[in-house]
Amino acid sequence: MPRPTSTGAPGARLAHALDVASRTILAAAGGYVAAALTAAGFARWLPIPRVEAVMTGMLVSFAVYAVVAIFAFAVARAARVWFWTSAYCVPLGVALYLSMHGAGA
Amino acid sequence: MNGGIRQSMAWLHTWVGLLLGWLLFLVFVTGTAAYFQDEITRWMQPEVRGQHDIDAGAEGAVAYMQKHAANAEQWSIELPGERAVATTAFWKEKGETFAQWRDHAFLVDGHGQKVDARDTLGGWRLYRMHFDLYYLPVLWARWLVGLAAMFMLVAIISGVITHKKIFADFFTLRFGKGQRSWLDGHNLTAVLALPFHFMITYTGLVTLAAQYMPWGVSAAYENRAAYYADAFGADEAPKRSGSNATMAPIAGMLKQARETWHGAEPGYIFVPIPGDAHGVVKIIRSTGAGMATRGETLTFDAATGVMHARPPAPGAARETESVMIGLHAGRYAPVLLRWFYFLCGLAGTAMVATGLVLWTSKRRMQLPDPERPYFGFRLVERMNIATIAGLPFGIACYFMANRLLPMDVVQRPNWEANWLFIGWGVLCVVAIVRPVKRAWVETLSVAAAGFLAVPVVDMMTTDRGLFVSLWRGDMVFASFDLMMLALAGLLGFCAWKVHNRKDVVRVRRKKEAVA
Amino acid sequence: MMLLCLLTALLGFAALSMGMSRHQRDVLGKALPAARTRSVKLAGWLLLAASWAAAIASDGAALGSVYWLGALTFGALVVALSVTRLSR
Repeated sequence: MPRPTSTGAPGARLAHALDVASRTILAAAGGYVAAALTAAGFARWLPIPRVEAVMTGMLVSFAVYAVVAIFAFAVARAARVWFWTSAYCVPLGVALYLSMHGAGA
Repeated sequence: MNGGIRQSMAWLHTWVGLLLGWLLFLVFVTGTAAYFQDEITRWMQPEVRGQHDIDAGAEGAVAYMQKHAANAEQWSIELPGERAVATTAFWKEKGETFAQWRDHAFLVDGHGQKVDARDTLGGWRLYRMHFDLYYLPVLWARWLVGLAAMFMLVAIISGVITHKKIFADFFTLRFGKGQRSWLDGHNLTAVLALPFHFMITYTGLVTLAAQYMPWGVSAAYENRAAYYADAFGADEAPKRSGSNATMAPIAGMLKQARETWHGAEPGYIFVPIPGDAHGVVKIIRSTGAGMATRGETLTFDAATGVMHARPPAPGAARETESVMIGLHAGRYAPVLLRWFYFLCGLAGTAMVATGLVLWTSKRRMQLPDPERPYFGFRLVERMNIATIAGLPFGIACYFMANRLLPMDVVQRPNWEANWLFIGWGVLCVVAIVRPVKRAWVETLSVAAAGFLAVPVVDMMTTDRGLFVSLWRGDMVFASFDLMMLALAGLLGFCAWKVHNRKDVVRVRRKKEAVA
Repeated sequence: MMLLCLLTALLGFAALSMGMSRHQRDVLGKALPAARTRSVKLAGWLLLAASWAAAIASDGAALGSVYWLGALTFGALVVALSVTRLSR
């Protein structure tokens, strides 16, 4: 990502800083959330013995984290990555919550 | 984000590489050293003699504890790995915690005799530093190292994406061309051992996955204990019967274990409620017996020596985890492969170091005023010197402290570690106070001198110095001292190279002044 | 068998480096025609595959694959250093 030149308008520099901050949060926190939800989802829904499902989820989770982190900085528009990450995490999170506390607890 | 994916990945790679780069350097250095932790421990306990003999060690430990700890709550025996000699054993009295284990710890040498060696944690301390760091609560350290590992994983992926000429430049090496050379060095050490770097980083995260990603456990189990029982076997301690029974010979149980494991060696022996009629003996397969590092636990009736039924074999996921950890730790590796692990670790260390130096090297060209760089640049520059030269020197001090500290120092192992950081601290001061180029030369020279001093101190304080070891064919001790000399040579070479570097900036300014 | 693994890895990387025009010019003095280059590259990949096979034959799939990666690293390094030397 090219650094803004020191002669850039203050508005542009602020926008750039916000963009970086947004992507960083997405990568660091969003990535972890996606990974954690993936681990939980595998553990709960993989049709194999519980202990195996939990272990599989753990092993796979770091790949999910890395992918989100890379995409957070690779895609041209940060909003896109926020959208797709949320599209993954929110339904998954809701489903997990319901599965654990609501229907079929 | 404008600039295209290569540019954004280059930006990302620089930041995730730089932010925790110095921590990653420490992780690589200690991890690389840890591949030879058994050899390092042997060197740091020259009083321990004899060759590797598991049965003698086990019998010696059991005999000692039957005499001195007959009423203990639990006996623990760590058998020597393939490249180790000493058996470590300790017992736990009723009401004690594991934190007090060292109060009752003792060593048994290769002849089965209890030996009073200097109090040290040897190479194991460096191995633990690799993920527990030091002076920090262990959980915090592991979170920090885990974050660094995640940064490293992202650095690897972004590095590969951004290195567009990764194939075109695969065989290209340019020496002596300033910033270009640093980049080539960084690319070479990164790309040559790329499979290793990727493997080591991902498997490193997996080793502590239970801490980093416990959410699967929470989602599928009522409590963690239930998960651990499923995954690693429940730890049901048998109840005391009150009546005593002598333990059957341990050698017989070890023999049965080896037969069950088709020759694989045992690594640990646990005896809960020793001496009791209901007692059991648990024998765990050595972590180095196969690529899958998690060893099976076999349980024997203590009084009769009869083996209980084998636990069920782990499923594919657990076996995968076991293999991943095994690949990371490399305990299964025979000697040639172990040296390859070590070289890859050195490559990784060089990759981190060249990356850090590359950052300053590149930006030095872009400094508006080379005599007064901005704060961030000065910070990175000084931290580079302090870490890249300082940590190796600290490790040399650790080894020297092992030889030079008096035997009866209280908390001797802690003092050995303290000296690592004292030595490192001294070079940090030099790194900050001296002009940059001189700081590099001086710190690297001191580090080289430190490693040179280790075999000398060894010769002066023990009867297992380099020449004696070579004469006797004691390859572990000889190799250690020779490695110290090799490291001294490497650091000295670096110092010499920096000393001879022409000051590009100065020359340019002189020309401007003349013009 | 392990020696064969090392040797084929070395030769494989040598071939792959000779499949690149920049190194052809450095080492051989001139660029090779396209067809030649293609066959040299193919030979290189085949040799690397043979190296893997030799490693597996020697130590089994798991351990053999790890050794193969070691052989690849060794081969790549030696070829890189040689090409650099020869291009001076």
